[in-house]
Amino acid sequence: MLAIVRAELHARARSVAALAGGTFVLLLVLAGTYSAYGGEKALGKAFGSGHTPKLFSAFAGSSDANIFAPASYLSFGFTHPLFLVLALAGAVTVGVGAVAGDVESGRAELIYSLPVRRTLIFDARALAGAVAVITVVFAAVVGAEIGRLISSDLSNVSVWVPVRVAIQLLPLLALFAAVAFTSSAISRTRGEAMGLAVAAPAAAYLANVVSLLWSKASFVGTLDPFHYFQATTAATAVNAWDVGGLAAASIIVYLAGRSWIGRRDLA
Amino acid sequence: MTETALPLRASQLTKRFGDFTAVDGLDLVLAAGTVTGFLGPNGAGKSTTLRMAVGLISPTSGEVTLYGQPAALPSARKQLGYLPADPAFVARLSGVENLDMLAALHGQHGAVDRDEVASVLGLTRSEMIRPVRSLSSGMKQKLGLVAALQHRPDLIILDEPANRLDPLVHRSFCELLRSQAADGRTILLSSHVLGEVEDVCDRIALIKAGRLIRSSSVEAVRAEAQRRVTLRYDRPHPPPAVLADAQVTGDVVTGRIPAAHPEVVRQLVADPSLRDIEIEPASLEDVVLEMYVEGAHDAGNRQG
Repeated sequence: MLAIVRAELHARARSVAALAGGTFVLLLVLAGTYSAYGGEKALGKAFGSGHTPKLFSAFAGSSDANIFAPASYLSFGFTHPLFLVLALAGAVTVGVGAVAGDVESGRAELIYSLPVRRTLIFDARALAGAVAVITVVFAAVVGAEIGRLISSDLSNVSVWVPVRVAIQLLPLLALFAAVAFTSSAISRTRGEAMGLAVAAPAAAYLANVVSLLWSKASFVGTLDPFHYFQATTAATAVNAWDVGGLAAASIIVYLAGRSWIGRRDLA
Repeated sequence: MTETALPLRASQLTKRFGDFTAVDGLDLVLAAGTVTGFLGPNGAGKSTTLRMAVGLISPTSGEVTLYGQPAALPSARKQLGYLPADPAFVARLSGVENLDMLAALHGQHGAVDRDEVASVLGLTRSEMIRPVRSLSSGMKQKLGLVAALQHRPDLIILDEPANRLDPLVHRSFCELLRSQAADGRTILLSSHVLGEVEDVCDRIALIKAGRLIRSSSVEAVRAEAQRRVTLRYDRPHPPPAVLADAQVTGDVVTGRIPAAHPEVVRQLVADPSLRDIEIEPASLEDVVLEMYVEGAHDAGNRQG
């Protein structure tokens, strides 16, 4: 199993490093320039006449959070659309290639004819995917922490804020990674799997933002995975129920893909 | 020999893709230590059969076992070395890294024969440490052969192994196969290169339209082959009646005569105007091409 994990990570080292570099720089810049913008009051005035625009709050996964407050601002970086694109790319890349990529390229013929259970190969890829996601998120946490230290208005914010937000974020990424693995398990081509794996978080993100902005659509929120990642709330405390719920959903989706791979043709 | 000891046994193996039947009730047995050429025209179902044999795809009905265990079970594939028709590796990794990963997953024997096989195929260390994406298709094919043989498998299944090999390497590859066979390995070799099959295999299994139409020793097939014969007379001569597909060019008559019928030869040489007779050795190619052309309907599943 470790041989596959090692090979997978080796093969994807550059893309994971690039994504990790991206999240590191993004969070560093966002946090590090907080004071340069003038802090909470200046940002509030600049963007919303002293109040956080509802759209900004919605992007942060909340209907009313003041994202310009120091701790909320630091956590907002983890909901920034660009950050989510980078983190989700890390989450879905390994999953999408796990089965469909192998079948499409022909690698499946060498790998799955070995005397190894298919599910073991699937699990090894999932482990490699987990390492990739954790690396990307860890880089973001490091970037946020350094930005927090160099920004005088954020230096009083707890060192645990980025860590708590990252803990709240990981099961959400795990869920979309699981979607990617399951998409890959049921697809014949990488493109097909990628389509499913990208459409799921994009649609969920959009639906969550709409549900936060439009009260008539608020019922959508409870069904939406992004509803269970509220970064500004996580800045104060990790919501164990949300973490547990997303983790459970991830496991269920992953197991669905895992059971499918045992039955499908791999050539 | 007990059934469970058979390296490969396919029973009524059938695979359908929607309305299309790729393999249709195929029965195939490989006895230990045999080298079998798996032949058939394009689209006959060879690769589909091999993929079922290595557990990549599941039969619609029937079963295929390796050493008595269903091929779908990982433990059944412990002694298997498989080369797909178009071997693909992790492009960003080097050849050695790919081989290391595959060897690690084989466990038991790992890469015990890697250096020897690579050396025979002319794959150098400097080529193997390059990223696979930078290798030529011929080098990838060699790498695939190393991957299939490096762990010293008892059962070797090769799908079009001669693809992309240059003639020199191909000759070395045939020698390698003969040495593997001499060591008692069981080999199933799917190929369109009939010379290679004739050179290396002791049996052939011929498949057409998903059905096995012939399974017998190469010698038995050769023995049945019609011989090409060239007759030179001392003057223009009508073709003898016993000659099939006869063609006359001046005083030379060519055609074919049935195998194992010495009376036909006696009849030909009895003609006083015959100046010379030349009978070519039976070729597997002639028989196999004839079988490709013939319908599968009349052959049934003959075992010889």
